[in-house]
Amino acid sequence: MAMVGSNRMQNRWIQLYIPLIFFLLFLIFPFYWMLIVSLKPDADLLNTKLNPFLLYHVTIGHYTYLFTNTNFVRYVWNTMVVTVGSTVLSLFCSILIGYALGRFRFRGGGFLGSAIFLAYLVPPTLLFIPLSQVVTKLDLYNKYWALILTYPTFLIPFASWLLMGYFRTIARDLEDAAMVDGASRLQAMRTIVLPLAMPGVLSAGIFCFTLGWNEFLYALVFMGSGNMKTVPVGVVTDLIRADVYFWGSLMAAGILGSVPVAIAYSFFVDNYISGLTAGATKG
Amino acid sequence: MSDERAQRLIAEAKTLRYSRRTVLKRAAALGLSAPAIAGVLGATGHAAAAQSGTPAVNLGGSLNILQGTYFVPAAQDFFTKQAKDWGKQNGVDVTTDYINWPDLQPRTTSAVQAGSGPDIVEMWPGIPYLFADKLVDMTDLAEKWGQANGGYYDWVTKTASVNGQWKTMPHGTSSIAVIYRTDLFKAAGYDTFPETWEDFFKAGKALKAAGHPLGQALGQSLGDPPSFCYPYMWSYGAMEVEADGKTVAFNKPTFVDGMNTFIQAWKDAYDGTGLGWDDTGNNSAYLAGQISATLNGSSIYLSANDPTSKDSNPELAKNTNCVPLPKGPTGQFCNLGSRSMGLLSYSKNQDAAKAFLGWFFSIDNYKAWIEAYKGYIIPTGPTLATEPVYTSDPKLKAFIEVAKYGRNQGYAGPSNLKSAQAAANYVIVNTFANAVQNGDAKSAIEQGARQLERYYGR
Repeated sequence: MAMVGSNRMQNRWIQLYIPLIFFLLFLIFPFYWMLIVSLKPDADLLNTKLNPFLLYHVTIGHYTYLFTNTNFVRYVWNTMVVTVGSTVLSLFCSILIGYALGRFRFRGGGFLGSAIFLAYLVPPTLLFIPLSQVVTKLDLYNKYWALILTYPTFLIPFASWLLMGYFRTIARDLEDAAMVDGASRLQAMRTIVLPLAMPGVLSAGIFCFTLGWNEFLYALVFMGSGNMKTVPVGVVTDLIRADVYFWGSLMAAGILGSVPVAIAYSFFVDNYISGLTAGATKG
Repeated sequence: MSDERAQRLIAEAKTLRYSRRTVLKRAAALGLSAPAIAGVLGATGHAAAAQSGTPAVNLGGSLNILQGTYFVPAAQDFFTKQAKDWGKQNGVDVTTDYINWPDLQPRTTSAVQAGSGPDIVEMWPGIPYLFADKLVDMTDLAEKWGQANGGYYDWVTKTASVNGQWKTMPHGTSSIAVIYRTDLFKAAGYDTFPETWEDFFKAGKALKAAGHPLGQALGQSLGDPPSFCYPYMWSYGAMEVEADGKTVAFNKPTFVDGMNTFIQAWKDAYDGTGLGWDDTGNNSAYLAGQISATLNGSSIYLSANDPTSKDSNPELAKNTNCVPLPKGPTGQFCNLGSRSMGLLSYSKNQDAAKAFLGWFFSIDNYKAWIEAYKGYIIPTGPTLATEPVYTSDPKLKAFIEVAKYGRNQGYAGPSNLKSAQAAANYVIVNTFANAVQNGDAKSAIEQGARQLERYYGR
């Protein structure tokens, strides 16, 4: 019996723990690297005699530089405004689209579902040219609305598709029962279906938040003037000067810039996982 | 000259009964000085310039200028101040934006497509070709600027004009030279820097044996890798195309020999990790004391020599010297192309934009700007090349000296769309990288020639 237990333990290590450890190292390493580079003095960053993976001396100089020589706080605020705005707008639209395509059977519904997903595949490097004309015509250049309205072009397709799958997993009988009791379609959706679909909505929300937070190209071309920069655009503008990179401060910005996304994930991680898997496997 | 233009404007204003505002706009567009403008206003029956507290000339409106981020932060602040001060004096609300160099092109593309955005945009060499029909012609100002500077270097004309027509105002470029450690070269038996590539490689072999190889970026990056590969190719008798701009002249026996020499040198003298370096890799390696020499702009030396820089290293700066690139069998070259300022045709304030450019491209003003830039940017013609900012520090002289034998990408043709495509696809750089990786110079060059045929033979 002891042999059997030992084998089981051995298998568990080989099949679970060791792969998990490798996976964890793989995921954590970029953050570890950002953290140590952001805390190393410049002299240590350039000293090839030191082990680059270890921290010998600590400085907060790079963080000080980031806050005093760039408009990092303003960039974070700008990013927050456009990310939250575009996420809320995308979720609102995606819930309606997802509900309609997931619940109703109507002519062209299947085609519409596929078309929405295909829209997600159009690369932003192609879309930014026509979108720039739209942004100019609406006089939105260098305003928050320029990004709040353009980010949904890539957020809504995926979020709608995710929610469409999720809405299909919720039993139709619950909604029918509510409507038999006198609820309208919208009431049934709001009070019965939406609370049950919350894990899916949260996953879609986290997805939108992450993509919006990290987006670069639209932020550069539609809203990159003066103080109206997002974190990804602002830090490369201020911390790369010709072939001189301010690595320490760039990494400090990377660490601090990932905090809001990490917080969003940490709060909703359980819902996120269930939301993604439900949408992916049931339909 | 100014009087002649003022007299012409007075006659024009009287004939066409210009308003005060129109007179001011025309005067600014002609680049008249403030006293001359006051004279014109007086002669045409308009009130002279207002008293202090209000602009001397009221062009009105706003002006947005977009440039790449400056390597020297003080120079960026200086330009911002210059632009703002000019705006105050002329009643224009001037704003300046700076973005990372590679991001200028998508930003410009978007603005041009939308027909709205920055009025004046800094353009990299060859880029004026892309937007030629969206740019306001600058011939008058460019010719005046050329005359004031003893003409233009050939590489300026070929990279900043569009088929010889000035669509933008060239303002010079960052230069390139070999930056090397005098102490390490001396220890290896080289009191003076080798003059030819072959001697340079021989020195590198000794230096690598002593633990300090030569360093050269050969990754896919727009700055340092082409700065080595193009001049090396030229100095061994090859070029992308003949002067007709069509006939590929890349696969030359002399170049195959030169490439074989380089393949051997890569093993004997260079830091092999250079294959993965971008523009920053050699800076870091040199500042870390890892390599003994590299090709770069003056940024390495300026950073090490500046006590306020994050990379300040006075000892390293003392032991550093900069020299022009070595010679090959067919000569000594340097890959240069001028940046320029383009006025987009969608601009709603073209008079103010022209007036600003006319003001910026005046000798005194430009001199102040290059001084703020510490000589990192070299001028468009030979007249200003003798300015103290280029000559007072002997170690920086190489960066202005190479202007004499600069060649543009796409040589012997101009830097046009074809050369830009070849450069963007790293045809020349990849030929070198393939050669050192495969050890086969002939096939690497043949492959490069086939790719060039695709771009230039169309």
